[in-house]
Amino acid sequence: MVAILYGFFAYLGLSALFAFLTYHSTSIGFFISLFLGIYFRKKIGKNLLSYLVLSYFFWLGLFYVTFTNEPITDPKLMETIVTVRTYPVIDGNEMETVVSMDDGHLYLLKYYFRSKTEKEKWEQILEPGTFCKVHGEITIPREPSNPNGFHYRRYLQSRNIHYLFNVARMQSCVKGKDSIIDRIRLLRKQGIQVIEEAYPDTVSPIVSALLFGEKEKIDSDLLQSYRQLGIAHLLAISGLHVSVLTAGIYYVLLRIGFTRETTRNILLLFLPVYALLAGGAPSVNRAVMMAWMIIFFSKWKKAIHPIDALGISFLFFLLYNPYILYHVGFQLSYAVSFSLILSSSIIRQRRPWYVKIAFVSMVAQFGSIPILLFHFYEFSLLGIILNIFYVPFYSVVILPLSFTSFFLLLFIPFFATPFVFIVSFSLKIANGFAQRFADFPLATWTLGKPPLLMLLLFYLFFIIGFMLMEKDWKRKRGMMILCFFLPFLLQIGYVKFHPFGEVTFIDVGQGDSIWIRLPFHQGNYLIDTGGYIPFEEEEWKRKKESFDPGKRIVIPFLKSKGVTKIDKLILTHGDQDHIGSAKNIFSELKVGELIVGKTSKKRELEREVIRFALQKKIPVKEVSRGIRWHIGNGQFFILAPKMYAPSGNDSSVVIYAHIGGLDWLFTGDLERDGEMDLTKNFPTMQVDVLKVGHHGSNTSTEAAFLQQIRPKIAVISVGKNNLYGHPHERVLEDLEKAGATIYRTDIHGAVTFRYFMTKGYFSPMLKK
Amino acid sequence: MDIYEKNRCFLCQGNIKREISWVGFFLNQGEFYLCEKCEKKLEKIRGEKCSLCSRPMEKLPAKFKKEAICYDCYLWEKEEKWRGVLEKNISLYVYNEFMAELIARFKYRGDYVLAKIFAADIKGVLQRNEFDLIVPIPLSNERLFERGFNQAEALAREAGMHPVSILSRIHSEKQAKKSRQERIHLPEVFSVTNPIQVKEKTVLLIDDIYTTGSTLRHAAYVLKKAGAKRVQSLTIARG
Repeated sequence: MVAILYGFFAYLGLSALFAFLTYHSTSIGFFISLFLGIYFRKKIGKNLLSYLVLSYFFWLGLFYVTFTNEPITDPKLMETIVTVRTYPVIDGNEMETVVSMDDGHLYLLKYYFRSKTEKEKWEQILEPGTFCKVHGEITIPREPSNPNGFHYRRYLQSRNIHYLFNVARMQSCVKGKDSIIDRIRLLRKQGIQVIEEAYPDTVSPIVSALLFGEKEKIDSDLLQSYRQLGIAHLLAISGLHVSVLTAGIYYVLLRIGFTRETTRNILLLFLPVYALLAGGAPSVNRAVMMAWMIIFFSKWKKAIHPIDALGISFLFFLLYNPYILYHVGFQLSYAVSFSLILSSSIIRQRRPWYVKIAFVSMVAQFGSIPILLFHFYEFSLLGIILNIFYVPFYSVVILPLSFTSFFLLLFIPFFATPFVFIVSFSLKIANGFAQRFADFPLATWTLGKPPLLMLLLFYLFFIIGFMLMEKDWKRKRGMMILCFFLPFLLQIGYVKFHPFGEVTFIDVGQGDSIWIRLPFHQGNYLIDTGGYIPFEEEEWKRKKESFDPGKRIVIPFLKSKGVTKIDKLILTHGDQDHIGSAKNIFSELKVGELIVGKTSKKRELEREVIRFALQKKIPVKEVSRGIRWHIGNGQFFILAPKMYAPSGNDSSVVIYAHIGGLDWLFTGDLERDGEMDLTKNFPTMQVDVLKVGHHGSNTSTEAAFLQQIRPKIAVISVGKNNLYGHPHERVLEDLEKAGATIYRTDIHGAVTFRYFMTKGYFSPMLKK
Repeated sequence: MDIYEKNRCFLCQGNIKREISWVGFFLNQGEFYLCEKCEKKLEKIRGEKCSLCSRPMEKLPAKFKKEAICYDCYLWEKEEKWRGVLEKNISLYVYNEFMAELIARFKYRGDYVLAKIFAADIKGVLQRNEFDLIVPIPLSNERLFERGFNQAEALAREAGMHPVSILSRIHSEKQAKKSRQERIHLPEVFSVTNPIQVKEKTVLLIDDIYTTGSTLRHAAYVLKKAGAKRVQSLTIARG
């Protein structure tokens, strides 16, 4: 074996990372790689450099081949036999499970049960190893239809799944022969059952998460609190858990009387099994593989440096599935481990122990913040402090006791009771605290999504900061602190004060939600929030949580733009698909003022929203024709409703606006009568952009109306395959005849107009 | 079987332990020559020092100081002949026992490779200053034959510089055996072999050690006479 340099594999890993960067942004990635190559040329020696250059181009080639080789895009009907690979996840009448086919690829099978009996039947039969004959359609997972939206396709690809199999008919299933892996999966399921039986319902999901990486059943509010506090990582099995477990087993086996040699061998056999038992998430695999390598090499008294164990595992998983680089858990796990390993000398110097823990917590936070911002647009401020308490609490108390209680439950259940009691008791207290702290107003800090270059700047500054901390802790303290703060300031400056304005028609399915951002921090408005239309369903069909577009689409979108306060929330009228998510918006974001139409006979939903706003002490302003305001170059005129018109579609708040050099007409759900009223009262009005009324229904957008206002661009906010058949053929034809370019959120996804001063351009999210 | 490259200390042959840290990972991936212990015995010149000759002045009694310069330099600069001849001397390390042993091993016992130890430091100085010519203090032919290499030139070469030998030595007696008075009032010891090359140039003289500064000043003197614009010097140790 050739002797290598310390950190050799970590450097190889970094070269892969830079290749990945280059794949995504040729200019940034290539120039940075080139710069680093030249800068470090002398420092790292020719030998290492040539390996790194080679590795960089190898990965670059691999990424191009893998990522650009997108498989079929046309749906394909198929009748075939699949092997079930996981226990199905069932939510209401929907089932998902991973299956494999003869070609060796993985598919995500989706199926909708037709009846309650069918649901119960498949729930019983399906398990890893079952063969099923199914009939359905193979499709490629969707791309995000909103800017910074959830990338479902990437998410599945990072789990090595490239297609969806939408099954229409489950024909017959046969129990297959269990492979070893299937048997371990069965053990895992049984283990979770043991925990569920022994522990109270409020605690058992957490213990399952800690021991088996099963997070499915954790209460979503609790999980949300943990996330907001930046301690959700405790619930994901990682290096912490693996080292506690490994150390525990090592100690116990030695005590029982095994030799070191045998103990090591047992651990080497057990660890891979544990990876499967623990659910096989990237963080688990990483931790297990690193621990395995370190133990393996210690057999020959040869130490492998953790940084290289980290590097090797990184390259290994990357070779197995290059898409794993998109996996958030994978990114976080490696970023944090890398930071912690390099900080070992910083941490070692600290005394006493609680300062050490504080440093560990801080290093882990800074290692993960840029990635957290990139994916979730916010991070926890309290987390830095809370981790100091929660990490030792989990690693010293909860984890060892949970493991012990579980082993006792398996072998001598009688003795397990006190352990179960202590764990339940302390977890209840810990969770209670977490939920209380999460309501703290400053718990999280929303900064928006940093662009790629900013992400790199974050890390560059942090690395310099860590170097200063390591070398010149005393002399350059000011510089060091600056390094840790400056990137945040840059990011704030970037999201808050940049000179570009934006109008985005957010794709909220069937419904409206339009975001207007004026440049130079002059303000941002949201017209309508979207909302889902609830309908009665039988108990067995009901999902755990209904899809709320405000919560799932609008709020993440706004946060990604760095919005923490909406200056004006304008609700055009009281329909569910326009204001249904308003309450969620009030709960998550600050709202400067709520604007509604000055109408009579408001319906219950609208009144409820207004009451809710008033409760939150948000000023509510009722507007009617004649109200106007302007800010910077933006001008806004309310054209409707007329004062005290009875509420309804024709009494929608209609806004005529001048933004980014164009004239806009936002119509809400305005229909024929409302349009006629506009043409009568504003006979000379012409617009550049028309938000087509009422999702393009036949009752709106009359030809006569179009003839007068002559829109050049028409945007229809409408859901895919909606129940109402919107938009109507007639409307589309009339718009075309009027010469308008049509954008539809069901086809184009979100439509964004970006502008600088008086010039701008439209860009649809999905390009067809 | 070993996973990692073993790096041995050039001086004590001990294992060089590498700590993987932020600085270690991102900056110091160069080659390492000394183990931690030996590294510590090398004492960098830090803090207050003579602005002319880099002599450490923190522990120097006040009577050997003259404002920002040491008394030695004050004496040199007092004389018309030597004033401003050597603009500045930069020395890297204190000439302690360990350094004395190191230099002896390097130049008298022919351990050429030790020059590498200082390469990075010398490069650092060159990055901060700009020179047209880098000139090692020459040995007489006799000494050169005895030692096999010129230690000053070795230092320069290992640091990746391209020294030019435009000085030659007239006298051959060892400096180490002379008193300060003898050294100062020596007749010229150096001559410039190619004066045209020196005209209007900024020159950096290189030597292993600065003791009284007489060698470097004599060399600087002839260079100046030959038309050099400025002359500075760099030595590993300050005696």
